[in-house]
Parts: sequence; structure tokens; C-alpha cells
Amino acid sequence: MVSSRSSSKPLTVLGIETSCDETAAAIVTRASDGSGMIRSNIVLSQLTEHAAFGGVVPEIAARAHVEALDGVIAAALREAKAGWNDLDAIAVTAGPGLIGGLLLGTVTAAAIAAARGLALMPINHLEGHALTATLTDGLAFPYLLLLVSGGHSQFLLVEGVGRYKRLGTTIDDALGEAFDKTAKLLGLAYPGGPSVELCARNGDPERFDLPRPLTGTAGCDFSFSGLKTAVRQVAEANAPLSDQDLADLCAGFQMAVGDVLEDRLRHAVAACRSGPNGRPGHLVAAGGVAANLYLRERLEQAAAALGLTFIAPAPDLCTDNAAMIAWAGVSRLVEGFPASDNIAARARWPLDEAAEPVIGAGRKGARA
Amino acid sequence: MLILALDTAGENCAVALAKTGDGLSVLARRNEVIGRGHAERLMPMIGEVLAEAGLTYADLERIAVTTGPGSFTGTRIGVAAARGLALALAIPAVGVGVLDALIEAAGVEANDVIVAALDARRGEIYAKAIRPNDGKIIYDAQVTTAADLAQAIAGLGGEPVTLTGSAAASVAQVLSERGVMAAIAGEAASADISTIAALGALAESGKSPAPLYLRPPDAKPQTGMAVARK
Repeated sequence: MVSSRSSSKPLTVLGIETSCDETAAAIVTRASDGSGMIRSNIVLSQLTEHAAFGGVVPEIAARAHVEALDGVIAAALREAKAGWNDLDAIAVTAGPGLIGGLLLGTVTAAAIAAARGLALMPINHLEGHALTATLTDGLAFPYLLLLVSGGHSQFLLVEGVGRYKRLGTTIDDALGEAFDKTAKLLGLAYPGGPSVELCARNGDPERFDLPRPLTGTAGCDFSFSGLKTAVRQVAEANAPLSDQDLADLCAGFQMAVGDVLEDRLRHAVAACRSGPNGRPGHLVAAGGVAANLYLRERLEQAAAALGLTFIAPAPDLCTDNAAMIAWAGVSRLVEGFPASDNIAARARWPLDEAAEPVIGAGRKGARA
Repeated sequence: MLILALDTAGENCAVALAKTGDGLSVLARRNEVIGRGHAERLMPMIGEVLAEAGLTYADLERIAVTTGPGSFTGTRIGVAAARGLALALAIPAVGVGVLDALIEAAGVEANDVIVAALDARRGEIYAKAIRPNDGKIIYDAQVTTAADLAQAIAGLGGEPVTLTGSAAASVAQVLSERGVMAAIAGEAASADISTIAALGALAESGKSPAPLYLRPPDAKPQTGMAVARK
């Protein structure tokens, strides 16, 4: 299988990503030897549009995507010095995410694909995150993936392209959501993740006693809503808050998260060991929260203690981007997954479709 | 010029392939009343009209698309498809306002005032009024109420008034209460797709079509969420 892949012809794919508040397009080429090269990776963030609202407003996001997407695609082609005829396919995020944005990405991709006679690959956004390490580090399967972002918090065993086994997920808030809500509560700037991380640098993580939800329990599910509530209660009890109070709360919150991740990682690795695929040698962190340097360090130490090599893609490839979507498209093409000219956007789309929905994961089913 | 016209701003999903020359001739057309789900139907319908006319994407010379007002999501889907096609084919895409198309389709005599009015829900309407003889905009496209629109129309010089659009009857009612008798040219919520093609053929190219929402996003800045600071 490896030899047939290594002899395949080079493939170039345009990736399109509009599932949340980034309008993104990228050109990625897979060489004959199987290595990937990011030839352009354009990400237009809508941060300023949403900042006043303390979170992503779907209608504002959709309005921004429709104005920007064609220009972002043109820029990706220009920067890669690529023309339509250089492309083998268009890969587009079809879910999960905000439906208004997903519809614009898929309809634009479908229009371009039809006009240029290109294959169209609908991509699960989470698969983009899951496969990034095979692009950046040439990592081989299987590996353990911790996917932590504004919408997702889960451990997955990545066994191959299109083969993902969910080991655990959040039963309430996603980790990035907990960061954002903590930041909002403390009056820190949006987006909350970087604000909390920055504020925590001067803080004493031991000052406030915060819970570590689910630690010590079986399995590797997450729960963050209780931690968020505890932060609010401590903040209200100590109001009005000084700068030092803020820093100590942020540091305490971050350390609690680090402890939770460490505990859950131990359980996730135990789950892999007992599974049929043996033991992965690598832990990969992906998603926006994986850009947090404190948590990267904690994960690296925890992985090392368990005999795993830790890999986290560069921060700009952890947060939402289209290079990962293009690479997922390339990977699926190579593995013989069919193209589709009818791509229906899906707000909810679990990566492991066989996984049971989780209690508290929302009336429309598991977040992921 | 071979022009592809798209309308996804309302309940309809409409597509037409038209050729300009000696007037405008529609080569193939589709119109489905679908309410929602434009994203799934639009590209297959474009494929159908091209196949029926025996043409390909490479033959297209211009895309015309309705820009609203209407469904925010529906309007964006048409605009995104038009801009994607324009980028891929290196041809212009132009926008056609839904109210402008209704006014054009009404085909009113020059001295009248023609008012297009659409139901915008929440007790409001989208409206625009022009005087065709000099092209003067009497009432620019906006979200308003039938009462406000009627007041503006009643204050004119007494020209004959013709109404079109899904809110035409309710505006006529309010106008009659003010002593203004208006004719109703039609009560459809959208103009025929051939009108979109005709206006698109005349539109100036060079500016990408953008949705005409007429309403801001339904979102309020959050304040007062944070715990008190020293």
C-alpha cells in the first residue's frame, strides 16, 4: 500500500474553509513521495467584526464570508502561482460548524468545480485537524489525537484516513468555550483563549481552589461547565477584582485545565492499550486551544511520562485554516474516496459516526 | 452576450440562460418554488439549463444574480455562486436588486410613480419607489412600514401611483385611507427570471454583486457580563 502511494502522481488541491469566523483558502501539493507542501495558506480572520459581541455572531460571520471568499481564493491561487488547470480537486469544509458559513463555502466550491470540471471533495472540518500532523510531520498512523477547540474537546484514535475512533468527548462545554466564557466573565478581550493565557502569566495558580471535573473517573470524557461556574463564584466572592486577582484566577483556571488534560490523557492512553490496534507512539494536539503554550508544555510533559512523543502543529495550523482542508482532500483522493458534486452542508457531523451521542451534548446530537 | 441569471433571494430558486442581441431571448429556464434549500438545488439547475441549451460553462459571458432584499441566506447563496462562477470563468458577475426587477417588470407608463413593496415580516416592508420618466428615485430601498411609505407617497404631486410586490395590497389599503387611489400591477414577491437577465445584461460590470440586506444583523453588543473590577 505504501509503495503504490509513493509512486502516485503529484496532486494539487484547493482547500476552502468557512465553518466559523475565518474565511480561508489554501493550495497544497502532495509530491510523488507522499510528502505535502503548503503552497499558500490565506486566512482572513473576522475577529474585529465579532469582538464587540464577545463571541461569533453567525449572521455577521456569514455576511463577512460572502464578501471575502472569492478574493481569498484568488489570493491563494496567486500566492501559490497556480492556475485552475494546475488543480486536481477542490476540498471544502462541509461541516461541522455554523451552517450559514458552511453553505457559502460549499456553494462557492461547487460553482468553481462545475465551471472548471474539477473533482469536489466534501471534508469534515475535524478530519482536517486530525490529519494535520501527517502533513506537517509526516506522521504515520495510528496516533492519539487530542482535539481541543471552541466547538470540540475530544480524544480520538486516528487509525487512518477516514478511520477515527472517538475515545472520549465533552459532556457539556468545549474547552475553547470555557476559555471564552472565563475571559468574558473577567472582562478580558475576545477571543478569550489568548487573553486568559496572557493574563495567567503573572498569576499564582495555587491561590484559588478550583475543581478538576471528572478527574480520577473512568474513561476520558471531559466536563468544563463546572470549572467555569467555579471561576465565576470565586470571581464574584472576590469582587471587585484587582489585576492580581485576575491573573491568579486565569493561572488557576489554566492549571486546572492542565491537570484535567493530564488525567484524561492517562485514561485515553489506557483505552488505546486495551484496544485492538495496540499502542500509539504519538500524541497529537490540534484545534485552537492547542495553540496555548502553557497547555502544550503540560501535554508534552504528560505525554513523555506515558512514553508518547508529543506533536503539536505550529499555532497557525492548530487554529482554523484551509491548508488542513486541502490536505484532507488530498489524503482522501489518494485513498480512493470518491469525489461528490452534491455536497450538503452539515452543522453537526461527528468524525466518528459510530460513536454514541453523549449525554448533555445537545438535543441535535453530539457536537462531534 | 450569453448571460446566466440566478435568483435565490426568495421562495423561488430560478435560473435562466439568455442571449442578448435583437432583444433578449431566453434559451432555457428553470423555476422551482422551494422555500429553502437553494444551496442544494442551484448548481444542478444551472447544469440542467446549460445541457438543455447545448452549451457549457465556458460559453458563459456574464452572470446576473439577485441581491435582495429577501432571505439573507438565500440571497447569499446566489451571490456566492455567482461570484464563484465569475472567478472560475474570468467573466463579470453583476447584481440586480429584487425591488428594481419588480419595478422593471411592472412596465408602467412614464408619468406614474411606481412603488415596489415586499413583505418583510415583523409588520414591516421593504420598499422602493421611482418615477420612470426621469428615473428619479422617489423613495430609496429601505425597510419601512406601509404607513411611513404611504405618507411619503401621499406627499407627492398627485401623480398616478402603481404598486407591485407581495405587500402591494396592504400598501394600497393604507394609501386609500389617505385618499390616494393606487393601481396594483402585480402581487408577486419576485420578478420573472427573464427580467433579471435583461437588467443584468444592462448593468455596469466591475463591482462584485453584494447582498442588499436593508436590515442589520440581529445581534446586540454584550455588556455587563463581567464581574466588577477595581
